[in-house]
Amino acid sequence: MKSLIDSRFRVLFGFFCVLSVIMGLRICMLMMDESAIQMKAETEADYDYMTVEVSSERGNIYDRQGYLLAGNTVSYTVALNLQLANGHEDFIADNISGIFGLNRQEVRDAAAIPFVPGKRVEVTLTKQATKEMYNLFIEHKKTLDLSYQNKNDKPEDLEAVVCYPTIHRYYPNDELAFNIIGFFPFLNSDGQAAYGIEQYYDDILSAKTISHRFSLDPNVPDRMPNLPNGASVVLTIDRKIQEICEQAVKEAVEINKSKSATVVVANPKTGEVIAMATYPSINLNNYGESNTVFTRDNKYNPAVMQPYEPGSVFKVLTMAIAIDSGAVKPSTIFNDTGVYTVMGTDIMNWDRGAWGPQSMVGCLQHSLNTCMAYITDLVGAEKFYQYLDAFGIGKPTNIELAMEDYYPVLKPGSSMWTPISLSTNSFGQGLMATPIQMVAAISALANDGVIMQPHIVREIRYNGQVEKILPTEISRPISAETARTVTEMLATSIEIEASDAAVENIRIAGKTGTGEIAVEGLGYVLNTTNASFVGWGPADDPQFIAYVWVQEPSFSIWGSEVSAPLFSEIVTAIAPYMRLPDDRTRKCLYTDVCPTEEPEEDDYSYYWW
Amino acid sequence: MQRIITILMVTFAAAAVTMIYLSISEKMTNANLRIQQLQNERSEYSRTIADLTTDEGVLTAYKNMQERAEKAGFTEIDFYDEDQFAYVVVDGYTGTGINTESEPPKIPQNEVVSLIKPEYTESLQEWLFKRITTGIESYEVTN
Repeated sequence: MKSLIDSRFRVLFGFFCVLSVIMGLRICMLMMDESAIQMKAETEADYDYMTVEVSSERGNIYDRQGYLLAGNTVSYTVALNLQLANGHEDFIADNISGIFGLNRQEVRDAAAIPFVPGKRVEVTLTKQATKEMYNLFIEHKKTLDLSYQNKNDKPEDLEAVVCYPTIHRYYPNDELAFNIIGFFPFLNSDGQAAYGIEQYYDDILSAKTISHRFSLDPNVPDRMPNLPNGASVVLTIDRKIQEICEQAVKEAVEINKSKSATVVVANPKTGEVIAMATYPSINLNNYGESNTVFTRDNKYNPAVMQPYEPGSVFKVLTMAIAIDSGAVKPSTIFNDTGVYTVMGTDIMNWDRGAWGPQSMVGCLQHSLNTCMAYITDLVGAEKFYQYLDAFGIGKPTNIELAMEDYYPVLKPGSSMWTPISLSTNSFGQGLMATPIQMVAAISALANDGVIMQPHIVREIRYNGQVEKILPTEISRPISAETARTVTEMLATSIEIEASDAAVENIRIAGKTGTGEIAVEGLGYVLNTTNASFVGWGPADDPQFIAYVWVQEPSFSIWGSEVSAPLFSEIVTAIAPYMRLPDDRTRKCLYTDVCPTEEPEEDDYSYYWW
Repeated sequence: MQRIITILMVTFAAAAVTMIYLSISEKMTNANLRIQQLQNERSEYSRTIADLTTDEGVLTAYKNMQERAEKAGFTEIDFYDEDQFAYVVVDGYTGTGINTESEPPKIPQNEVVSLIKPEYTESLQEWLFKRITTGIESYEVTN
């Protein structure tokens, strides 16, 4: 009995062994078959791995209070699945062209593109469908589906229309601070960030996108890579002050019919830029306007990209150099005859007038070119240009804004330089500087002789880390005493002159400038000027410095009539937002002496006359 | 009989290993699918967060806030009229200009989140292979 069972088991075992061998051989034959190998490769390609695009978001940009200036929003790429779309061209065109704002004929043509497996599968209709459009489409699709629900046949549907969500750049404040922010061309997937912070910090703001092969094989465990978002940048600008400045420059351009107007407001003690406004402007959500609005003579952000001959505002630096070098004192008298001759060339005043004996305050008050030419001769060319170097004129400021431009100062030894250059440079002609360079240089006068690194970025935040940008001293071109003396001279000059730049109840130091414009082949052209004003205050403890530049005003060509009132208007409006009380209130708040009466009419004659 | 038992035991052992393997494979497959689902959800949440942040940015945009304030009946005050506006010194606050030491803006940070624990990132074969090789290495070191 036992042997019978054994023999049956042996037979059964042998049968299974043979069966296994046959099956193994058959499997081997099938696996080695060419079509089987091809099918396996195709299956692996289709089902073993899935390529997943993993993206992070571009970093945000905020103002100093944390208000969003540049963020990201969802939009939809709308495409047609050609396999499903072919044969339903009219239905699709009729139902979606209105929703997505597309041309009906173009949608119809797209739907009619023949489907070719593996080659022509999908066609993109738009990459910029908004959330509202998408929601409308979904509602419409649902309505269509419901209307067909009770019918046996469902003749046509919108299954061919597919929407992929994507993230794109959005600027919630439209044109506010456009010149500082720059833009990221979200409509062009290959486009590069342009201008401002977007371009300067593109490498750290940038979103990262990687293609990850995600294994579908359970034996190959996988994980999705975690990409941190791009860094967020917090600016030093205050959007309220920025808005006030933007409105003011816009009105200035319209009233004066000028080419452009630019304002920079900074804190001289820290180098922080509080506002940097310019007009003409563009809406950043329609950045394509930049191609037509800005030209070679009217750049995107003139404050950093457009050096120009500043004219008489430069005299504050010349006077600071002359006093610091000991060449003159505030009480030094210059007898103005209306002409100062250098190497046979006559230097004349803006009004071609002769102002007689003048102290250095008078020279600044009447903006005498002859006086400036005289005092630079006393300083000497070598020392004068050493000072300009120390002030940073002719060098970039390295502010964190893309495409900063500068124009090197011609110096003795250069083939283009002559002794007349020294005289013309003294009153801001024959050299060029950007408004931000001028602000940085002149801030030495408002900060006891110290120039702080101008900066517009307050913090950079990345992956939970915060990098604070701290105020940094970059040079001390003049002494604190010189800075205070020149500030006092300019404040007095504004008071005596009853300048339009004066701000009610806040003592301001400042200087107007009217720079003639050189035209290629014609030289300096009459009645075409750059009208500027630089001012800082309060004169006894400066908290801000503001620089105004109106390019080619038509209504009046003079800085005193165009830029000075603009400066006054801006400072009056922004002072409360800078928590800057008028002088009397400030004394009441911060000192034991609280003036109770309006100050008497000052007699300035004691001052340096 | 002993042979039969041996064959059955081997078969049973093979079946048990196969079952364990299939069970782990099933779990891995589910985990992979879950990872994909979570990844999609995370992408959607990321988009939603970015979108809501920007929506908040739009709602608090300067012009929009100004319009809402005007509609709500607020009017501009005269900062230079002492009856309307007054400066007050606050103890501990020393700045007279723009306050550079104010609280940093509340900016949402992207938390780094790992979807799966490190111990679940290797397969059974990889785990065995690693144990065998590390076993060999440690053996070589001890010798």
